[in-house]
Amino acid sequence: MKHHLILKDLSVAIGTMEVLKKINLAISEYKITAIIGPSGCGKTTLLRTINRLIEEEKQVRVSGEVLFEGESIYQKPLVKLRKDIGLVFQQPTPFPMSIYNNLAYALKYHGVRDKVSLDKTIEAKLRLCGLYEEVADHLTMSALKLSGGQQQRLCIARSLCVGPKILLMDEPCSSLDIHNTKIIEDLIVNLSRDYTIVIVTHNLQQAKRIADCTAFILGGKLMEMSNTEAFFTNPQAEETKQYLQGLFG
Amino acid sequence: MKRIDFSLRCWTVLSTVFSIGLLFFLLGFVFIKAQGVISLNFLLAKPAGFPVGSAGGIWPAVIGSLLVTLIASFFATVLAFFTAVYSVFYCRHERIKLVINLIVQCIAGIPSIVLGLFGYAFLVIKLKLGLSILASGLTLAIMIFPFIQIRFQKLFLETNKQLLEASASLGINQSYTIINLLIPMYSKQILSIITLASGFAMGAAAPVMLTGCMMNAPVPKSIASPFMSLPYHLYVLIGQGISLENAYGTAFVLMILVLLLNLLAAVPTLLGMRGKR
Repeated sequence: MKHHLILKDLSVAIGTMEVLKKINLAISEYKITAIIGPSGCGKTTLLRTINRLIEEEKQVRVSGEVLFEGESIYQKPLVKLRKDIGLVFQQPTPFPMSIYNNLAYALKYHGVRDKVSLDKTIEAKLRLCGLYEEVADHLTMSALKLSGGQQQRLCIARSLCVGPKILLMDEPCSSLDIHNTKIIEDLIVNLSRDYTIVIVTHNLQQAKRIADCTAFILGGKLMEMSNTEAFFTNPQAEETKQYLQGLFG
Repeated sequence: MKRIDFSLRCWTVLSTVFSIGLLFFLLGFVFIKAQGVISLNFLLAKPAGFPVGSAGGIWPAVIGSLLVTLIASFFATVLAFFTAVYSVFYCRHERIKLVINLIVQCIAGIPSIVLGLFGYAFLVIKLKLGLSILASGLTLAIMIFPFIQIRFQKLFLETNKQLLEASASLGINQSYTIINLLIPMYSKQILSIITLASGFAMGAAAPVMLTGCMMNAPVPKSIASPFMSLPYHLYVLIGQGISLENAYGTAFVLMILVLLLNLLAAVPTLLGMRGKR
């Protein structure tokens, strides 16, 4: 099994606060890795460090290494890195333009310009996200008019348009109802055949349902990581046991 | 507590009614005073009589005002847009941002007659632009630049950060995001701000009177010609006691033009409201 992403002694501090402390983590190719932990433990910061979005913030210090396909993420041009490592946000972030243009916006930037290939890719990605049937007749409609669940699937489709190798997802279902959560979970499982997926979630059941591996972060430290079944049936660390029993969180 | 709440509410309603009333009173007052001269002929004729302006119309001043406003809005918008984009999206140092804001506010505080003097000394004489629409337009551009820049900057600062991050997460650089996401997203607001600023420029007399505006000039042939402008024409008519009635006529036309521009600025917002419903 190949490791797609390796974190070595990764520490992140914002201002005077140490958010992540010496994280060591290896993420396998074409697997779903869930990162769980109580709010404020640094899950989101971890994702933002991987695609270097963290640098947009002030007074950020990152130390340690993040290797993507064996190469440090700081060696690559920023734009190329973010093309390879997509990020889906907690709140859906459709752009205030038509559904079609939401996808075309990213494609055009990355050099797809002729109408035929644009149409083809957009249809394919919408189909992949199970959105095509729902919006086929309304491609020129504003994306803001879609429901929350549809918006989130559109955002996933948009991320897929630029051809990422890894998809980071930051609690993609937390603002959705059960029905939409189920749709997106099925989608994520489907996607894991072609993409490496790292999903941050505070929903233990969700990690149990879809993840191949689960990592538990507490107070910026990685407590435990193993394959999901072992993680939930036989946790090693005392903190993990307590967290799984719902003693804190 | 209830009493304070009640009187505060009364006061807010009264103030609103008063300010709306003031506008209509002003318009009505000027209209009644100008009633005798307002006609299509007054609008479309050249100034005539002796001293000039005591008879005839204001057509060259209408065209001159519109042209100089157009030039001012164009240059001010370009400058303001890029300054705002730089300070919001590219500038990484808080200190530089602070300095930019400070300078823009200083420019906003320059008295318009001083701008006129600067325009005369620098643009007209030093840069040899001559007394012209271009020199006046550039002087006015300096005057409305802070007005536009501050509003653009506020607009950009209010952008949902997540949208920008979503765009960055697609491996898209900042200039593409600004051109293809922000500008279309804010097109209505941007147009409104520019239109409001042009109204501001159109009404100013001081910056143009030293830089190219004439008591009497034909409809300008090019941007290098001297020209007439409505506020300056109004100033001359009253200041030299040429014709009080024509001055009110000019004032009425100027007010209507500025009001139209302000209404125009509100149109995109109104249309947007209808779309949302």
